Amino acid sequence: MSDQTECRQIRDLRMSSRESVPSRVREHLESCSDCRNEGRFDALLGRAIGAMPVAQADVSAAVMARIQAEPSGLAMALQGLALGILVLCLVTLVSTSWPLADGFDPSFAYGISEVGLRLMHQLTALAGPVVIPVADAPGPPTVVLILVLAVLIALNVRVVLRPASAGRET
Amino acid sequence: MNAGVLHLSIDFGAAPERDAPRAATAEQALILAAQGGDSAAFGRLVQSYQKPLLRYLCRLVRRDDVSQDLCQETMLRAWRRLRDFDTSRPMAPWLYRIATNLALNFLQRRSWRWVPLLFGRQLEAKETEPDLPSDEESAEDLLLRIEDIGQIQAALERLEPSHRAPLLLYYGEELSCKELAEALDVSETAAKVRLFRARAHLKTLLQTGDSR
Repeated sequence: MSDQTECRQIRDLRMSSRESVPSRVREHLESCSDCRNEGRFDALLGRAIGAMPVAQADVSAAVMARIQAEPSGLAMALQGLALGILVLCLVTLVSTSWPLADGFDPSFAYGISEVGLRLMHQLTALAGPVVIPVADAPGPPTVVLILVLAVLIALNVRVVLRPASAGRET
Repeated sequence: MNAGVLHLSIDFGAAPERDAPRAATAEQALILAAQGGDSAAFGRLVQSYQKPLLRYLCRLVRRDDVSQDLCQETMLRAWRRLRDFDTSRPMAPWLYRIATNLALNFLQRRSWRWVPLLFGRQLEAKETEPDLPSDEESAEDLLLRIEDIGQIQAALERLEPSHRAPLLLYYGEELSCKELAEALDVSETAAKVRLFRARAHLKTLLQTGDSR
């Protein structure tokens, strides 16, 4: 039996170089029963792990189907843009339809949505000669636009966030 | 485990001949093509790696359906992050790293449970550190005690997943220490320490006869 320091060095060496066994290791193993037994335990552990049952399955088709369903970079950018517009429009919708109760400062409600209002003016102008006065609640075109955007985003986000398979936790 | 490769064993089994440079070049070509958006090239990488990944995940998670889902998720995440992958490095440890993180996250979420506040710490201590035998058993005595590999498998199942992972990667998937370090996202020294601790913990479970 050799000293512990030598044994530690040899075990470290064997752990590091698994494909080639240096002669120093061979010589040590011939004289050290402890290290031989550690080696036997390692071999046993390797056999035990190798004999563990494993599933045989081909996941490549499922992976490729999910990759094909992934939105492209441009689609992701468009989604982000649409999401931004939706948020602005929602803020506008909420703030302009807020009941102006006593003591509520309307300038706050309109102030936070100024950008949204301008954007909505531009967007609704594309749909027709609809002009929304800043102080009024948004008209039907705006509401329709918001609903259409919401449906589009929901459909796209559902694809991105879909779980691995049938809602199983992964 | 591949026949003929018993690392750390005493039979000095010859390592299988590998055509490493050519394989690495072919793999690099596929990775580069996939990085350019060629999903067919990535499909070939999936074909090459799905078997070892699934094998590793099955052994780690111990549930076939979850292993398949995790394997899919591993590949999908690899595809999404492929642009950041350094093609000069081997792909396997990187894939094992993604798989290990996903599996450990899954197992951690599954193990969440309510524990009474007063006794929580005591329960935790008992689970993570089984009683050590009064006199440390020699490797020879331990080998005499082990009747069959089923005993080791049972002990492996009782081992914490964070300890099981390095053992499965090193002994089961035959990663080198360097590859193990990459798969665990730690330094090579830290990987060796983790492997050593996991092995020691496994031996403790076998010594206390607590594996069944």
